[in-house]
Amino acid sequence: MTTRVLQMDLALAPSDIGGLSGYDSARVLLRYGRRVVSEVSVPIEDGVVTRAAVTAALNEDRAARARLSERIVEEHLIRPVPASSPSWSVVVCTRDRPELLRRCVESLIGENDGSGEIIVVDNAPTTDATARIAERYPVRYVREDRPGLNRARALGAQLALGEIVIYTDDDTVADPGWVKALLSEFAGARVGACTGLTMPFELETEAQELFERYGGFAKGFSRQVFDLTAISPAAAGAVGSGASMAFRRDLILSLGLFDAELDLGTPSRTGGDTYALYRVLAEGYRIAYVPDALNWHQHRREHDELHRTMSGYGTGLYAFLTKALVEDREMSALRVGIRWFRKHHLRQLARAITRRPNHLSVGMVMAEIKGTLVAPLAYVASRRAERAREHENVRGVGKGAA
Amino acid sequence: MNEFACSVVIPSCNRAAKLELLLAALATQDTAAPFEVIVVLDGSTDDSKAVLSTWEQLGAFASLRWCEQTRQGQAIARNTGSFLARAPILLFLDDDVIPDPDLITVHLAHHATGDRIVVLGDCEVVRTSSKSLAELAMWMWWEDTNHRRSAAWQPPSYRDFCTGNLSLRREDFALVGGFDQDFTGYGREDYELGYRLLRSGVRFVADRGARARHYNTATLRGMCAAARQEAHGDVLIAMKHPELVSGLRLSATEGLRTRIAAGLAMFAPWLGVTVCFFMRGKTRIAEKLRLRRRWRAGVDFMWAYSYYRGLHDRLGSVQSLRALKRTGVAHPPQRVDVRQPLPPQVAQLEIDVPSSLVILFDGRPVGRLDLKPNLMEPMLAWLLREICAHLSPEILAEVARAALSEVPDVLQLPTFLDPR
Repeated sequence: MTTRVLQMDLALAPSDIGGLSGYDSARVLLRYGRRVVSEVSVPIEDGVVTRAAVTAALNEDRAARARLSERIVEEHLIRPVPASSPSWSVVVCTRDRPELLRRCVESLIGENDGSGEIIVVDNAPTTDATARIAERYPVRYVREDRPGLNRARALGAQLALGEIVIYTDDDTVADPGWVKALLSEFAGARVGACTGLTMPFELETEAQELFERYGGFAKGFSRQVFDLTAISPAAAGAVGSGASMAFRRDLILSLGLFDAELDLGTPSRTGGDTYALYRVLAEGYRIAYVPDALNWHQHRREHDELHRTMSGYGTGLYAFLTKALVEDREMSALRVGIRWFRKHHLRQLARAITRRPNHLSVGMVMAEIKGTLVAPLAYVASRRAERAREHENVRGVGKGAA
Repeated sequence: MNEFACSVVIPSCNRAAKLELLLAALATQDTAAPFEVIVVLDGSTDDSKAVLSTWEQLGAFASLRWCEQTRQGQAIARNTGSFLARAPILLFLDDDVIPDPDLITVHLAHHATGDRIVVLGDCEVVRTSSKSLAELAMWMWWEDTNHRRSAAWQPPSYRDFCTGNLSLRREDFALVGGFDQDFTGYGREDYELGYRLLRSGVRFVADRGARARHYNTATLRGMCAAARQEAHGDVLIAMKHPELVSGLRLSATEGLRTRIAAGLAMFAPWLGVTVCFFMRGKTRIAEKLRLRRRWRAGVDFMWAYSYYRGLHDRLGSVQSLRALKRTGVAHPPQRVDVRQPLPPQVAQLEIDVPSSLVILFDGRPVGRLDLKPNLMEPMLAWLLREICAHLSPEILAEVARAALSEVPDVLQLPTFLDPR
């Protein structure tokens, strides 16, 4: 069973989409011009997604219809005041995945109308393939030889010339207008960061379907503004992810948002993005989630890769919560952790065991739960390793001076 | 006849060190326009005078003058300063701000046209500790206020008039009679003047480029003391301008906790003090543990208690508070028509007193919203969100279809909007 990912622009009097033989169903992203409206699942019959099927699916969904009306009202009746657009830098951190990076960079080139720059941070590469790709495109290429995604992110921010630093991973493809939509929110009061909607690039394999069923990256189709008066900053995982997020550069630098203790390249494996979003919220800034800032994420194709990813998410999330609890004295991290474990992990496990519809395999749920259980230790290990490295650096500098 | 383009008026009370920083920042202003500095020492007993004479001897300013008065409050101090002023433009600064180098230039640029305007500068609260939730709350309030005031199409409010960093024509100031000298405590004298200025036809222009950094360490105790003083001010405003009563905090009927705090303040202050004592301990613990909502709830309670204590100071009894509330008049309902462009309609709204906002579609009422004063976000953004949230999908679809009928390049979308 394979699903095709499609999109349809309702502003252009859409017609049927053909040439889809070999697929059973389609997930159609509906948009109105550049605005994202909703998503519908429709069956594919004889290789065609009909306009009638999309209309029927849209009509089933009252909320989606209301959103469509809202978009039209906003676009035409109340023309938004054009805000001055800040300068920007997109930072793509990558490691030995030249083909994915090429596709990502190609999608980003079109975003640059001269008001920004694209920085590729090559993290501890084992070959020069990434460097060779980068020199073919109008991007800045830098190398961070010490492994660690957060190190690469921090270096990217240090070198960035833009007021806004936008992060994405090498396995994404930006939709036209992604950068502009992310920037648009920074005119708001106290907005320190902005996140976007990340949809699956393809759903060709079962592993990719499973990832989506597990929640995927998407955080809904309505714009939201998060603020510490409304949510606990420790719940920053619900705000967005490293696949599509933008920060004010001065905040990254003054708050030191990307701590080398977290994320890929350390025992904690992920969580660096969530911690950065947490800090922004905890310092009183707002984070806007804008579904119109759309990009596409290449999910892992194979089951074992998916297993690793899920267990990494488990570890990273709880490593982040441990760090927030220990270093920032954030008591609500405890509450958020317990609640998430109960509502997410235990529920998924129960569904898997009782074989409810759309359930996941017990093995996969267990992979993530195992990941969560080792998280506090992983955080301690990350922290130790980081301290030891710092210590060594200091000694190294001392010797150099002598 | 005017040798100065601008008179900077600074009331100050026992803040010699901060005053010195302010003078240093003024001495290094990046402006070609000649300006004078007038400091009014409002009952200062520290070495403010020594600081001033040092700066005078330095000769850093074209003119630096100061005078002293017994402690009478900022309203009278600012009036005194403005009597001494010789320039056509008055720039009021608080004594605990540090202006950016181009502050005077930016203020004066707005006044170049000679329009009857007040230029509201930006106050950026500088946080000294990342642990203090009180400072964080203060910073958030100022950030939101700065942003709201400068939003496009924002209707003016007398609450936008904060004297920490603003400039206006001396003529306009004199025309409305300056600050009301009945305000001898802290707070609300600025709002009251702002209201009279607005009524006299002066326009408010907020510019975030005219920036001063505000070094004020907010503490819980300070916030509560301020709340009590603000209650005094609110009573004065209510007595002088009955048309504003329904928009004042004292008219707001809020949740249970506030009612309890109000009841304690009015009937059992001894019990209230005890409750606040424990509440203060609780908020301290909540702050340590970063339990922000618990902290907020505690602070809100203490704030409400202090505010109602302040009302009690002035009014003496619940009966007189009720009588004062009764003098308030309800504002008639207002209207916006979603068939017409919204921004100009929003700019015309009256937002200082509560009223209901009727949403029309081609003259036909399709919804109703409550307009509340003290809204912290820009009106246009709020209204847009509320319209989308409150109108039924059918009405929204109708509005959307009507909108589309005027847009030629969209072809046949409306079929998607039909409910069936």
